[in-house]
Amino acid sequence: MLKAAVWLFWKDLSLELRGRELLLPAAVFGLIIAMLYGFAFDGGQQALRPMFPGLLWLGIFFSSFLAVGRAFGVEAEAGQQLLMAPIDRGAIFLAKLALNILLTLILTAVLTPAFAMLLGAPLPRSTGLFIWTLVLGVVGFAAAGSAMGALTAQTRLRELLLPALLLPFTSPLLLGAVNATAALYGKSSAQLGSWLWLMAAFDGIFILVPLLLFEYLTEV
Amino acid sequence: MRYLRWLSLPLWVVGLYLALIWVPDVRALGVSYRIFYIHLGMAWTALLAMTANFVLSLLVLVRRKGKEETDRFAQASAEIGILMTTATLASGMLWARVAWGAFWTWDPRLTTTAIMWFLYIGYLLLRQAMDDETKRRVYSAVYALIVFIDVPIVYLSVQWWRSIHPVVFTESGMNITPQMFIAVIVFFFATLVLALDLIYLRAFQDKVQQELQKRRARRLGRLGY
Repeated sequence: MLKAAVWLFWKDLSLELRGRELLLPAAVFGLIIAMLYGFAFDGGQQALRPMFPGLLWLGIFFSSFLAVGRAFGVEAEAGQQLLMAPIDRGAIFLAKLALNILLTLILTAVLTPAFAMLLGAPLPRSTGLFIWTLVLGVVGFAAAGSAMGALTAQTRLRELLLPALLLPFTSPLLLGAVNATAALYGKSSAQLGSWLWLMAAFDGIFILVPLLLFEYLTEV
Repeated sequence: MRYLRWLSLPLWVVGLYLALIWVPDVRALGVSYRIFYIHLGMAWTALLAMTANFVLSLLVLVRRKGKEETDRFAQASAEIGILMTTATLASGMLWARVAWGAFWTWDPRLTTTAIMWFLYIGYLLLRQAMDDETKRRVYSAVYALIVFIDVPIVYLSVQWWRSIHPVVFTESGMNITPQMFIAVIVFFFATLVLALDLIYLRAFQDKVQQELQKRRARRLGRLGY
């Protein structure tokens, strides 16, 4: 299963490297969001600084769902030929998940410094823990996005449906990520550990459960 | 099952009598608190309907026989669950305006209920957007399972989130007397029976609609369309 997953992942990655269809528009959209925050909330950096954790994560989530929704859409448009391959169906999901995680991680690595500069945020208290927060938040979003992307790939109006399903679904993750980030910027980081655990639990559950259920989707 | 509705009506009459007349006022809250009986009954029924949706969706995936019928009931229970959730939110907001002075607060239960509402609206949206019947059945069942797991996580996260912020409204002063308990239970059964009846009605409507569509298609086929 793993070998097939690695090959599929490589296939999607080379598609992305050649076309740059997902990452570039998503990253540009993320930067536009940062600019719009400045306009909408009257750009004074002093005013925006306390809101930085929330603004950062909304930016990451909004630009990420542009990228994660496409992973299965590509196969739906190709007429689902992938399902004819004699491989474990779980491998397909794993490969898409890995691609989504990689894409959203790159996106976050670009957007976070940009947001910090534009919104005037200082360095967090602990860079290591900040990176952990980013990784846990982004992996969870990519996992949930892969599951919802697989579910909506076959529907009419796929692009409209995905945010309506994905954003309420990931609300615990958003709360976890925003509060963990706020804890790293605020005075007390007493709550940080529990938020990180919450995100880790969300990640684990929503990687495992869709992986187990994915086979049902490929049977019909 | 068609006798359910004859049970629902007297239960509602008795429940309304108990909740509006029989139970005495609570001093701190006055008359306004009486909406609580309807509110609580609907909230419990909503949760039960979502649980039924989860169990039925599981059956759709696991069982071989009777998938169409199970799927119809899964959809109906989600619909009635949303109806009950909407009523819970609406009655809660009305009460909150009187008791707390605001329609909305970010109380964990309120927030979780609202997110649950969105998640199950999503269930209906997903069903609506899929044309193929078999696919719709399986895809929405998988969605229902994933979402049902998400709801407790949402509750946990919102509760932690609120515990960091100052708590403005506590739920003190809500001790239940035996009299109140009776009214609560009667009203709960009244809404539960109503919900069961509505679920059967919706599933039946769906069945009739599908049957009609099939016959219509057959007839059009005979006429040479």
